[in-house]
Amino acid sequence: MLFNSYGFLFLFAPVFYFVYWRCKTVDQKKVASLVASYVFYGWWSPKFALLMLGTTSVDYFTAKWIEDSPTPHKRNVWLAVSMSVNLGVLGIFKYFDFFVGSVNHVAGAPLLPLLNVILPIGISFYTFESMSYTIDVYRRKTHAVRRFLDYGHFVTMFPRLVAGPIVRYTDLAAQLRELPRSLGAAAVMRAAHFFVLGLAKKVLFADILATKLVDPLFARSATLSLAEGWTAAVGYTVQLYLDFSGYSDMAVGLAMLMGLRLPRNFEMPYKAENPSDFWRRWHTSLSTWLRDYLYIPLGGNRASKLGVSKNLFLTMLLGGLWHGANWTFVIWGAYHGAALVLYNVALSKLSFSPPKLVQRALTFVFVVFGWVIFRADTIGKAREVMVAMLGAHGLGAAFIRASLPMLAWLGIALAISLTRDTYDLSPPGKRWTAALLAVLFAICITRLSAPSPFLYFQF
Amino acid sequence: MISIDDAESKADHDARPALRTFAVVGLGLVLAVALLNLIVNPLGAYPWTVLRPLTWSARQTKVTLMSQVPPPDVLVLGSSRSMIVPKAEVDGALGPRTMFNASVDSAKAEDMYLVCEEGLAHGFHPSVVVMGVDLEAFYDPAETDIRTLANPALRSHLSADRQLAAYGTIGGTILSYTQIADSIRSVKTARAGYPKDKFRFDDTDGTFVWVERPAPVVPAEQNAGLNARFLAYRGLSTWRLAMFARTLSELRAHGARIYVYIPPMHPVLVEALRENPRYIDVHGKVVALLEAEKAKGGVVAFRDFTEISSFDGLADDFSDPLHINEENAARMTRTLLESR
Repeated sequence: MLFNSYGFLFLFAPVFYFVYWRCKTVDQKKVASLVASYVFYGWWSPKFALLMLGTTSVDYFTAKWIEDSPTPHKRNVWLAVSMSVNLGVLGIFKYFDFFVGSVNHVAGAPLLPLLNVILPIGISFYTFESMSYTIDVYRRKTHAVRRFLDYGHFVTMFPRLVAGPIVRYTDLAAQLRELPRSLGAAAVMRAAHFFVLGLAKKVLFADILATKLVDPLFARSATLSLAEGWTAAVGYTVQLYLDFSGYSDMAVGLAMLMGLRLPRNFEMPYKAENPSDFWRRWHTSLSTWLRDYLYIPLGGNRASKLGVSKNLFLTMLLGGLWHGANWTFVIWGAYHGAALVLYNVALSKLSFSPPKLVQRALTFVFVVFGWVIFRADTIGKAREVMVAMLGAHGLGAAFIRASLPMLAWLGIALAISLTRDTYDLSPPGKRWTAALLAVLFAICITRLSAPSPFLYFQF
Repeated sequence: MISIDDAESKADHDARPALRTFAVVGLGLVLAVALLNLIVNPLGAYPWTVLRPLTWSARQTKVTLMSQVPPPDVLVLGSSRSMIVPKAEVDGALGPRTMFNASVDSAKAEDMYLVCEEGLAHGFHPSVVVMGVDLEAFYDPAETDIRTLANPALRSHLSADRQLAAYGTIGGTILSYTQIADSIRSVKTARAGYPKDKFRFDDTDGTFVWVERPAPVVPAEQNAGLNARFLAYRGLSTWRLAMFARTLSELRAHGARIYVYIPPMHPVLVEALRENPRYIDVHGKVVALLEAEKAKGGVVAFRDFTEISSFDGLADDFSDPLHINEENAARMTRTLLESR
């Protein structure tokens, strides 16, 4: 089920929130949330809801057994079981066919059979959340949850189940213990503010840019002019941000309506001044996860210069692979990994630093080129778009003339991406600002007759 | 000094008017939009008519005619590009026969299946079926035309789950921005007066007949739109391929000999589309599919008439770049029915 669908907005959400706030006890609320979340997820595929129930059960029990184990050896064994199950499920559903396909391609013959399995939606998100929980219990950062209801409620909470933010149990534990009994008008207004602005980012900007500019241009990557190449690349840069941050805003708003606060996932990433800064601002719930559960265990900053570089590069390479089973994601991860290494080893040590505006512009261009690799179906197609961006196929003045309204829309979307975020805007306090928000909501509603999935669902 | 609780309740108190405004304006606008579209009903999707539906659809006319005409020997299925298949040419090639042209505009594979089912439900047992298959008949993503879903007779031949989904789609259109624009256009048109009909369907065989022939359309004007449509074509829809296969097997089960063709396009348009890799890809796939059907005996004949040279057609004999006129239709029909 999509947040941007009539079914969700006019059936699922009203019924769920009505029942949720009619529940008198915390446990009743958790049961309501658990049932609703399984319905929400099972809407796509009931059998994948069973898969989620399976992995949730494994992590629930292994975490308890880790905490109860009398010896370090047993703790290690149960952690290994949890990691193996989580990474195994991820490996089978997400990466098996990719690796087999690559092996077969190199061999030039179908040496190994493909599984041809469908990727369960959101599996990368909830698997990482489950893994962080068992690792935190292993590290004694948190206690194991003693009731399945508590753990199931945490893992499956529908607002952020399929595309994050990737929430850790330690972030939410205190909130989940004491769910509020009621919600005040200020909180509801704030939730509406987040949800409506997120919905607007998605349906008024990301979707329109995708269908009118980005998808048609990427579909004919071989023949793009300079203007078309840059429009495709910048268009996708803006589309991806507004799509994903729009989803995150909606998730934050929906969680607020349950009386919960989710962590911030974006902090104006296109205002980053260097690659390192970009990763402090983009999908922060993933980058901090990678930092805490991959980069630091690899040795983090406590290694030699070469060691730190290796850790950075490897973390980004695996971060790239997390996004999808395709060589384009691996190369995209390597591209960012190499940039982080270069920045940390050399650029950050320079005795002079260019003006902030120049740093931001250079970082933006670097990020845009990265998104071309990320968006393209194949490395060859990414190369075609980049060649076009370097002006190999002419300026494309006719395209600019013919696409002025859409280019203006892209300009507005870019300006929004570069200037203000939902967190920087105050929820409506006056009647007229609330009326404006309502008008924006109504406009969004008229664009939901053919809802499109969020880009990060595929990861 | 005030406590946190006091501060919260003051914030809640202050936020109440804004929240009330948000709820009232938001709900009010959504309801107003729904009411406008329901009353105007610009697509004729709901079972009442205050104003004449804005968008033309042959579906209701053809469904009504099928319930009135006697079962024909020859049945024509296809899109608006197959609405002219001259009876004289059919009689010339196969001997005197009764015929009914059941082509509907923008027909996809499911439209042909549903129209065919509707015909069979009315006792049609055609011995010959002529099918004009547009490349877009298998368009993916597979969203069925709202005018098909809104037609109770055609909708009744869909599977139960698709019928249920159809109600959802029709319901969803109540709030869509395209329907708001259509409603406004519908009201404007009603105020300005409806234009005279430029064409009609023959009461006896459903063939398209011009009442007032329009000026020819310049191919380039249609080119951009068609190019964009093909660029969005993700591949051949599995569901539509299944619907097509089902139509063929259903007709064969009734003993029909099936002649299939890809309708022609104006040479200027064909030339322009050759630059479009998606068009080349889709064209190749559809041709391969229909060739395969012919090879296994699923159809009696298959001809790709995309290029007018394939049936000795003339570039001047087009009503618009996608639609041939009677002269080209005669040449094309003759060539098809002589094919083996």
